[in-house]
Amino acid sequence: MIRFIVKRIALFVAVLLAVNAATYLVANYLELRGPMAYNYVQDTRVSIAEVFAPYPDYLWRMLHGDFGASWLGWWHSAQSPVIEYIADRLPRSLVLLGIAVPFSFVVGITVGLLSVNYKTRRTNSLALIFSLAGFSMPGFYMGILVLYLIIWAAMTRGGMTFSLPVSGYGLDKHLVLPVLTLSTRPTAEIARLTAVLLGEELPKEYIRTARAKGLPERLIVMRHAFRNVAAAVINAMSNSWSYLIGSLVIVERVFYWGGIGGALIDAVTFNQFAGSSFNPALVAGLATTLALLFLLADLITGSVAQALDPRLRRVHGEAA
Amino acid sequence: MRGLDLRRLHFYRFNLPLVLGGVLVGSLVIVALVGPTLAPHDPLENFFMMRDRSGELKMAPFEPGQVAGFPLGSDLDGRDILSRLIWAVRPTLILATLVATNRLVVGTVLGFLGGWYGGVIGDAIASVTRVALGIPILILAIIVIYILGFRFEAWIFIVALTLTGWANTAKIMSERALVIRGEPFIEASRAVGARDRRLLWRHVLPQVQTLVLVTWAFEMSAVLLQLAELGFLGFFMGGGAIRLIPDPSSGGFISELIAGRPELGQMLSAGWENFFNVPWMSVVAGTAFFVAVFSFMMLSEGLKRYFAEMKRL
Repeated sequence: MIRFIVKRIALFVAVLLAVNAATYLVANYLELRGPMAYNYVQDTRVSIAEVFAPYPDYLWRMLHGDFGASWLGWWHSAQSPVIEYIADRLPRSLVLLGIAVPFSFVVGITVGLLSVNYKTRRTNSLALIFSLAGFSMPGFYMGILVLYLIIWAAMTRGGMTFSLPVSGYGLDKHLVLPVLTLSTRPTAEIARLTAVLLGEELPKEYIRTARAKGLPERLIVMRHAFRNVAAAVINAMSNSWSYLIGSLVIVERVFYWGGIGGALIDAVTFNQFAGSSFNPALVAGLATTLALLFLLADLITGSVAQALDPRLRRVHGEAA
Repeated sequence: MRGLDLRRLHFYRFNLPLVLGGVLVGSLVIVALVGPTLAPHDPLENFFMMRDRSGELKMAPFEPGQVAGFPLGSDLDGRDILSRLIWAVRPTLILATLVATNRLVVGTVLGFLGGWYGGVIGDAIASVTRVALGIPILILAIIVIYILGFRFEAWIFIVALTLTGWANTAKIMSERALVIRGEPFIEASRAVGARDRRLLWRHVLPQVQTLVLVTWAFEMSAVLLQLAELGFLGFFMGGGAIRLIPDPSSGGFISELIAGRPELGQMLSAGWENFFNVPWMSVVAGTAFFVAVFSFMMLSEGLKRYFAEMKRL
């Protein structure tokens, strides 16, 4: 067990260092090269030595707790340390994820359970199509639709008072739209997975045994079949964290939520036209934080799935 | 153990996903092929002022249905959104097809190498696949597009979206290769003296034809989804120009993109930049992307069901 933990921690550190180095070097290269936007191709040659030159210094200062300054360009007056910049924004992302992910699990599993016909053991075709439709929505689509409806409703009422806040951070009604948008796709995915896996589980023999014992159908599904399905669903979700992180970036951008995903996109695209000034320290810091978030989320979902299903534990033990 | 033979198509139970997906994908392809001749207006023509239905003069942008001949309204520069939409399907669909095919080829080759040959090569490919699956494709694609430059040529998107995009296909294919490797007929032909190359070409490839088809349709939907998200963030293929507007509040400039040739990603990008002026534009372009993603997803699901019923998957 201790060996396993040490291995995991070593892996974490290695991944974080790799992400940090890669993003820092790429951002530094882009900063040195200058912009190449819209058929405007510069003929700047950047030597590799130049790209690598500031990295040892950055690494050394990072080991002493100095992650650089969050400076974005000459009009960007705020110059707080990167660590403060991230500490301001990380909780916002965590709140969003912390509400959207459990929400999509609850709704998705409920819908999935309801869309299986236990008598015929078939998935409802219409439910399947609906969940596929939810699954094919790009990360921003739900948000844009609801925004359009809200604006349209406000305009037909003749005023500019929106029934829901359309942007900004807040722990009240501000949460509704971002959570809805972020959880659309995972909800559909979980619903579909639950329905499909349950459909595969129901024809098995132990279900027949339980039915022969005269147990009520609800008990069979919830206590027998669903237990085996739940772990698989959670395990499958742990594979889609990388997608969810990308989705977070977009949702934070749509609603100006001000989390780290939006901050990363800001740091990268803020000045894509007028004079590039990538801040390598900021980009690397944000990317490393996102990578840490991803690793922790993956660890948590993996552990929960293993706790629910001992069969997964053995497979993972062999792999680790 | 034949390959896919069109003469042996059977029709079993009514397959709703296949029918729906087939019809939607078919109509998308038709729009891409003959669309430009159907477009009511030139997609680049500006209509700055038109008479609306009550006869009053209206300045662009027109709301949907406000002016005759502009059923989906116009953008800020008075260009007909319906015409732009019809024109936009072709480049987007071509780009998505190129990316998906590239992913499929790279993923199939790597997946088979990994699944077929165990040992060092197999382990290396398996771990690379696992790492590639963990990298958020959107963020990586943005970084790659930056490195290659904002030139908005198709190959930049192909590279950016294939760099880790092959991993999903590779995972599916290597799992399948592992299964096939253990089948008795493989052992039999090995006993007759067949080499690996012959085995792969004659015995394994026909086995995975249907799987390749299903995966291709799924990858098409995945690529279209990622193109939509990239377009939304301002990364799209197609020409464009930048207009710099002085911004007194910050002392800097606001850069505004005026795009020329229509492409779905470009429409999405421009629609979001001006969301509170022309909100319908984002909705139209987003819906177009949603329908495209959905139809390929349905096609994939329907094909999967169909082949599963034929016991060919």
